[in-house]
Amino acid sequence: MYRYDEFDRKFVNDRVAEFRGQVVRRMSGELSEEEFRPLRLMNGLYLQLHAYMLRVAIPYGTFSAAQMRKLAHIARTYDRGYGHFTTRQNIQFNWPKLEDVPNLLAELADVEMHAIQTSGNCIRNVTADPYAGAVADEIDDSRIWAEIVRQWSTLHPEFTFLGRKFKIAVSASDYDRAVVRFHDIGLFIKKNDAGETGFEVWIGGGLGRTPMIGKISNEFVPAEDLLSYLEAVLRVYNMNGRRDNKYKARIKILVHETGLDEMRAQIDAEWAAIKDSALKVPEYEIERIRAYFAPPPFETLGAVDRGFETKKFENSEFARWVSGNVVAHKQAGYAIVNISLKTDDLPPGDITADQMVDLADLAEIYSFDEIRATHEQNLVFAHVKQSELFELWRELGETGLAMPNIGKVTDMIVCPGLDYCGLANTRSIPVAQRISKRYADLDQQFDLGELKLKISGCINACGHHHVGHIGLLGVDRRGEEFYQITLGGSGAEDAAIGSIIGPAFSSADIVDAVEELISLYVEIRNQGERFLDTYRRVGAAPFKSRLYPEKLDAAA
Amino acid sequence: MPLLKGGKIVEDAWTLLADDLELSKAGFVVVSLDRFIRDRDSLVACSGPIGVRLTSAQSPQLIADALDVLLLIELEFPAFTDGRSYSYAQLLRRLGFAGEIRAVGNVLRDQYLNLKRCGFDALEIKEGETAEDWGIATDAFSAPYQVAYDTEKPIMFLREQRLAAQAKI
Amino acid sequence: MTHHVITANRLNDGLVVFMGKDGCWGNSILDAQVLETDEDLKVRLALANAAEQAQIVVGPYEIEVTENDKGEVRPLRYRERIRAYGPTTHADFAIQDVPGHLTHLDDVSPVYFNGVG
Repeated sequence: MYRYDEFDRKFVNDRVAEFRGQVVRRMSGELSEEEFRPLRLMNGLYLQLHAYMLRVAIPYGTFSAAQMRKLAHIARTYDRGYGHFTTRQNIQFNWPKLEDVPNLLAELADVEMHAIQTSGNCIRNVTADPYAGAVADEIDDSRIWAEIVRQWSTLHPEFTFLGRKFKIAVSASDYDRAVVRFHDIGLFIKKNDAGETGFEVWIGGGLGRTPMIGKISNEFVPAEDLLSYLEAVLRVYNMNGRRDNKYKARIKILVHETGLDEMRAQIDAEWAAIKDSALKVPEYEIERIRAYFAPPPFETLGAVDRGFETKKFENSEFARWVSGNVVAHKQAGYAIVNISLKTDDLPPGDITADQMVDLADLAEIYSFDEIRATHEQNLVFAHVKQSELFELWRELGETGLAMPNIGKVTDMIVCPGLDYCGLANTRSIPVAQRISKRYADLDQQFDLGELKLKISGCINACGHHHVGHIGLLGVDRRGEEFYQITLGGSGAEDAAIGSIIGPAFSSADIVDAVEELISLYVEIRNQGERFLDTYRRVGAAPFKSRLYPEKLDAAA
Repeated sequence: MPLLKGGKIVEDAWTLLADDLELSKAGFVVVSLDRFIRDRDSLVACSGPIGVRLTSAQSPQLIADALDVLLLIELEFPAFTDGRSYSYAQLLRRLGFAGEIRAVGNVLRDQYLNLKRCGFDALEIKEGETAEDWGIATDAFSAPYQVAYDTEKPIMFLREQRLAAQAKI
Repeated sequence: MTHHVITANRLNDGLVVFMGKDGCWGNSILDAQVLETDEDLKVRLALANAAEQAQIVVGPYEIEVTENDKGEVRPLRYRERIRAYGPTTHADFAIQDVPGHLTHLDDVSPVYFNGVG
């Protein structure tokens, strides 16, 4: 993974010093809250319902065991002993004190971490495929390019006060594991006929109030022109994006209102003017960064490990965990391990400091020191020997992190909701926990197969409900907590925005309603169909009439 | 408001002329874009140095053909969170504007470095802010990551230089 | 006539605080001064704004409250109850032990946003 050189180290230290000064000026009153707010947001510091919340950046979700240990230390020293992994591969702490944050950031800088631009109207953490460097279906390691974009976007002087937040994601596979099509800019790495690397660029994707799938703004931007092209897009957006209405300020609205052809023309005109400039990405820099993402020192192993196969045969729980959480690795004899943070002990995505330390130890032993965070609020050990999977599974079990539910109905994306967030309409975590309890039976979960359920506590859609196979949106109905159901969304390469199925359900009824939908799926599914597939085959009507039978009677 | 230019508080030689006022002074007059478009010929002919003040909704493309007759372009920050003028400044520099680009309106000390890097060379500052603050803010970072208008070599180039130096050894 | 208390977040630690009788800010709503008249509310809000100017708190505002049969102050709005009592999901972070506030997964009684149900 990327390691700082002296320039990177100096940079984060400069940033810590700058923020320390800003905190001093805030505490003395020299900066008002109104002035301080955008500055602290650009260091990832929110003021939420109960306390400050600090969002620490994990660039493209990759971090080391040493960094995980530091995060555990921070959780214990500056917070309440736990952290929360987010839908953009970052980690959040919910209870830091403002006066402690500069020291907290200094400690992060010691391990090459920071909280730069994890909030604010600027370019945010560049996210990437959590299986990068490990999976066979990628044509390059998306993190190399995510790192190049990260450096270019860090404290970019021109794009620090955009109309709104700006999110970029990178993928190098036909399988979209990073919700790329729903980002402000989505980058798909491609190779042309000459074998040269370039990017298919999508712009204007997003969730929130007006969910939109992105559109292709350029079919192939050569690798060396990536930064000049991004600069052109950002410049056009910065100059022309709406500033009158916070809910219409993302680039997706600009694309929608301008029209794609005109948008492409404006971007191309700007790009032409700046393409052949110092913005060209030098070959030596690409190679320098690529070197950091070289494969770890794999052993030469057979494709199949006999011990592993035997263990699966002998231990059905282990076999189930493998079936649920373990994915094929491109290197013979290795595997990708998903670690679910959706257990019933903690809110979804949460992890205790003790668990963090345990995982750091395990990563050192089993996965070359490296850990990944996914946008689904889970973790990954990307390079585990098949022969060691059984031991790893046992150790994960001891730390409470062996839940085999990856991709299953209880592996939900859930926003913090009204329990934590000042923007929320309703709570979301309790609903998730109730659904989880209803589907606690693992046999049942496996029978249901892949079922992506996502819950947002408000229309900002931080829980990604628009792209859930089943999505839940918390709404205030007559002063009560209600939940609206959407069906048929997908954040993968079959991108789709879910459709509202009908009137919202009360908090008391919502879990039963979800169960009705899932029961119907079981009744009418064909062999091998996921919930999403069945929904696409039969449409909304059967699900509607199942949930709202009285409407059927009324029509009759 | 005090004017900060080149890291020092300086006298402001310019006057902002309201749209409805007659031109009485010869030179160092700043007018709105509308006024400039309306009275361009007479402004250029009669007075000395002229400048234009753009609002944050007005792109410099609108005066792209007038850059060699203008000595000053003022770019507005109606709120310090409105970052359009950073792009306007970069655009002006790329179009070859060599005169003064001044930030007017609401800017915080914490934005001085952004302003400098985007091609601003002067700004109106709040009462009480000093030239020293400017110095502190612009020195806050040793080296930036990305290319911008200002002449600083971003980190990528510093790395190349170091590589080249090592290769020579 | 609705009663109010004044609330804010403390600047240095971000925690939810309530203005007490002495004008100082405390973590527990039970110690908050209940304001029963518009005049009292106006006076205390002015004091709260002064506290913001003095870098003690951020964003003070008034919330509607009621009193239970034990005379304990209880916010009317559900959002304010979460602020006062802590997240419903984590007993460890509860500010006070308030019956019915923490989520019990089997209890599906409705939550009323704007009044005590």
